[in-house]
Amino acid sequence: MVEIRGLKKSYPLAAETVEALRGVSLVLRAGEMVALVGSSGSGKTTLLNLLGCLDRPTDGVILLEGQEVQALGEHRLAEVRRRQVGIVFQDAALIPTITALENVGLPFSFDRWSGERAEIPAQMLSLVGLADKGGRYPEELSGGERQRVAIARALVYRPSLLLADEPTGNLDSENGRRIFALFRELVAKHRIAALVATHNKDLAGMADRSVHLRDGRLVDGGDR
Amino acid sequence: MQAIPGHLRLATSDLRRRPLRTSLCVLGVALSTTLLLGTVSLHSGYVRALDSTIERMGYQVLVTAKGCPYEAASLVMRGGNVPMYIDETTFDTILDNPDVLEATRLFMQGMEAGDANRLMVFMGVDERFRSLKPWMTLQRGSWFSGDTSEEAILGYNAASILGLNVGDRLSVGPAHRPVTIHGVFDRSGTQDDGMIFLPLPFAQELFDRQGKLTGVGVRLKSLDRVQPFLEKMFNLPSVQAITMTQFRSTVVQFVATSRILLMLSALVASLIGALGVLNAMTMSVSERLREFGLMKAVGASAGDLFGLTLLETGCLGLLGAVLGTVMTALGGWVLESALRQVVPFVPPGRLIAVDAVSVGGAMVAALLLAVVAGLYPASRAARVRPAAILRQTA
Ligand SMILES: Nc1ncnc2c1ncn2[C@@H]1O[C@H](COP(=O)(O)OP(=O)(O)OP(=O)(O)O)[C@@H](O)[C@H]1O
Ligand SMILES: [Mg+2]
Repeated sequence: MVEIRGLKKSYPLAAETVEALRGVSLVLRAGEMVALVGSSGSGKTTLLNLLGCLDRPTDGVILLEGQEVQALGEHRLAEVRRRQVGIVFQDAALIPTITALENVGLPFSFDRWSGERAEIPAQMLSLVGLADKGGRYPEELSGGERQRVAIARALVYRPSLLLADEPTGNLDSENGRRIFALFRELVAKHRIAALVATHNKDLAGMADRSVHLRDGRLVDGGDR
Repeated sequence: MQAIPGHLRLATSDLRRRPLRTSLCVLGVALSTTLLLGTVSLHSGYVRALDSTIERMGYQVLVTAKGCPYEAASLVMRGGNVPMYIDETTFDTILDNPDVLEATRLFMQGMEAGDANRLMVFMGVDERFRSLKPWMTLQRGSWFSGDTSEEAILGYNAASILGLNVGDRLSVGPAHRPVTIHGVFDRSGTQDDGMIFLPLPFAQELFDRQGKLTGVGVRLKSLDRVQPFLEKMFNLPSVQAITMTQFRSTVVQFVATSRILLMLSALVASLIGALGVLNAMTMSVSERLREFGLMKAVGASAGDLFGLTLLETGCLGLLGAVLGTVMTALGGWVLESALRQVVPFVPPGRLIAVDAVSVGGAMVAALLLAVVAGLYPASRAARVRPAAILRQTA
């Protein structure tokens, strides 16, 4: 389970301070897929970055499996990113010089104890239906296939939280639906809490529920 | 940090993606390694060759006519025309000195000989030459049958250069007098291998220098007696003496000076190599900021990315060092011939001795160079802020 309380994020600029998040509270349960909707600039990416430990909140609390992560040191934070959170970006963000299989196993490269898990990347690839394409380089895959590689990579550590920032933004609607279906299936099967940002109402409808951000606040579906 | 194979593949994947940039960079490191290794090896190889040459001169002091003693010594060691002569009576004076164990009269003259008219060095010697240089054994034939017999003994190389064997005839001297080859020496690894030896009185007569010597090689009973002996020589008119030790230290000094110049160019080359690595890696890192941001997002720590980038530069350094070592081993003669231009005496044989220690040292130096040059790009990679980078979606 993942919980955030009173999360705030402001970006101090030269002329003004942008208040991107103004106190967001939310609970994500294991096995639940939540769609994050809101107009452009409402703070979706900001929220996902904070949950993914890529950035630190200005105020508020983030609890991953009961552990407060917002104040952890850099090194511990890297470990949390690696083991507890999986992130999928709008464009697949794969390393172009290594194969699909190596991209899936990338998080293991940064872990001392990855030796005995050598077979997991291949398992994850077959889970997303790419068992036979592990040897291909990213440029030899279609956009949808690349995105599935990214999903396999996000799940390689069996994280408790899966985040996705408009993962279907670069895909046609058919491929987008497939990716969302895959998300739902994996999230339910592996009991992962998932938060998926999207602009697409239809796709949002495929989630278990939706939360709506406006101007840095949850206006619909938030907790408390 | 872990699983080196995985990291290594990740680290080298970008080197493989940009083969031209990588090879230019490696070449830069290789060139500086070559200069560095060449300079170091040149010195040790040179001193070793010089020492063995001096050891094989068989004498510790060389007495010649007054002039520049070092020039005289290097001429005698190299073999050639020494235009100044001492009187043969000096030899008797030297032999009378109680500190002298053995001495040999040297008479040296350069002149064309043989069908191809190659410039050869003629050396007039006596029996004492053999007792000073017991390693000069005859491979074929025998020693001169008499003091004035018109015979020659060839050094090992001279025999093969001239294509002559025992019993053959060769015309020598300004008057082209025929002599019979009476013997051929074994290979000694010294300048003696290239010389044509004649009985001393015959040689003097041949070149019309009766009663004259190029010099006298002296072996003392004890090295402690060098100083008093030199003083005695100093008192003789128109004669000077130089010890091989003096000669050695002067020549080594000279080599050391040229070595400083070489070392400086090696340092400049290293600096350029390091700047090449710095430039290439900085470019490479800034092209890949997004990839580094992504790696951070999936769990790489700052230290991981720092290490990864250093590993990448380390690979460049290692490749450069290996290539540089090979280049030194294959192209060392370029340095050698440069040295032959500037140093008064260069012993025969290979001067560049590439040994394991200097190779190891050059490897470490190249690696260090690359790693130091990699520190800045590595810290840039380590400082990537994933949130900012990943916002810039393609
Ligand atoms: N680094 C930054 N510095 C200053 N302001 C920023 C920064 N990043 C985001 N913002 C601002 O924060 C607000 C929220 O941005 P965010 O990217 O979270 O929106 P979003 O909901 O993801 O929008 P979109 O749907 O267009 O991706 C915006 O007003 C944006 O201008
Ligand atoms: Mg966004």
